[in-house]
Amino acid sequence: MKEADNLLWNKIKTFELDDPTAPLTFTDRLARENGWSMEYSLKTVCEYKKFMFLLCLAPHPLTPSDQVDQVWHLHLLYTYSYWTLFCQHTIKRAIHHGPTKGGSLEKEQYLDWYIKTKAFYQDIFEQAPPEDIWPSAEKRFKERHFQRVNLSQYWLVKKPQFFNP
Amino acid sequence: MKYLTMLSPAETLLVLRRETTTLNELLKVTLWDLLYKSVLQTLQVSRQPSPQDPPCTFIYIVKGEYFDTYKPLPHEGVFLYPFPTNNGIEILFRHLVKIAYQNAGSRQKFLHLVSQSEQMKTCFSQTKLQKIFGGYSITANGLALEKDLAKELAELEARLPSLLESGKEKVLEIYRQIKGNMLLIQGIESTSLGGLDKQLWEEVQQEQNMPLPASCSGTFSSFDSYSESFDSSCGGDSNGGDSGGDGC
Repeated sequence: MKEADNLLWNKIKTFELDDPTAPLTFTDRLARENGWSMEYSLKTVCEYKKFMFLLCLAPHPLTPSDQVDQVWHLHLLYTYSYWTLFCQHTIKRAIHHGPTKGGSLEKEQYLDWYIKTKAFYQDIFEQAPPEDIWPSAEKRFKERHFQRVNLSQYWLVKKPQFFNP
Repeated sequence: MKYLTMLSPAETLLVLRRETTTLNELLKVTLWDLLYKSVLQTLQVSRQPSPQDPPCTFIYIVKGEYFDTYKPLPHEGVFLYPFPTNNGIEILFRHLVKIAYQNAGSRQKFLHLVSQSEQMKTCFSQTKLQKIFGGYSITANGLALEKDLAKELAELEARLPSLLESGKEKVLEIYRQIKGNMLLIQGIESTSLGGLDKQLWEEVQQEQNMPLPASCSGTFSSFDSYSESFDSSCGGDSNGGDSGGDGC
């Protein structure tokens, strides 16, 4: 990593998404809304920061894993933190989030970008992205059946492994 | 003083207060012990997010000097698991407390972990039914240890006022020996000890590089300012509104 890149990575790495005085912090909320443990949520936040750093360096578009995307979505909700503190003051550039427009062409494009993202991650950080947060491209684009569920009105029962390979 | 120097504070609590000790107490003394031993350490960082924002103080827990060489007891893993694979990671104090609660599972499960150490194995036993439904029985070894520990603690508590009068160095020496078990000494948080406990606490902080939030008074009871997270973590997920006043 170049000196300037190192400086930028340190700024992103130490950027704090959590307000320690808030009863419900960013990471608390991330964990609650996704049904994740606090430990896993902190790991995904760390991977989100890496992804943001890669976006600053990459000469081509990148696609996050679904887990990293969830962190990004939530950060976008904290508009002051995202646009002012992170984009304006920390990385000094605006990073917009572009969801897919749908269709098979887009699907192929995102698949290609996701593979490139993981390869770029490996190049920059000199380690493979963790599988539990950056799954294979096949899994990433297969497991996309998400819906917001009101848990006070519905029970969630996990499918047996046979139906959920 | 033999057993207080050998056992972790959670093990001491298990032997002395089997039925009455809470998960909160057990986790609190375990973290304090790990901080005291420099397996973990606190890191206080002041940041100003932007020129328009006031500086904000963050308290993190990071790997301590002895993290890599320390051989953890089974129950200490609840605080240590998040660190090995993430080199150099800084975890907000309150988040680590929540992680520890989640890793501990329940008081019963955590007590089981505490009872799995080499020191504790001979002190507790489980019948087949207890293995299925939970619970354990104290053995003759455990009862003997309970007696010895109670005696050591009572002696220390009785000696403490005179030790404090004769100078803090002697008390600090005891702290160095019994580490986290110092939290279990009844007199240590007593206000009757005057300002000496504050001085001692500052010494311990200096020795162990344990900064406290600026708002804290610096007494032993100020550990509770850290451990408010222990109390709020149990039901912490449900507090607070979702989106504040922005209607998102």
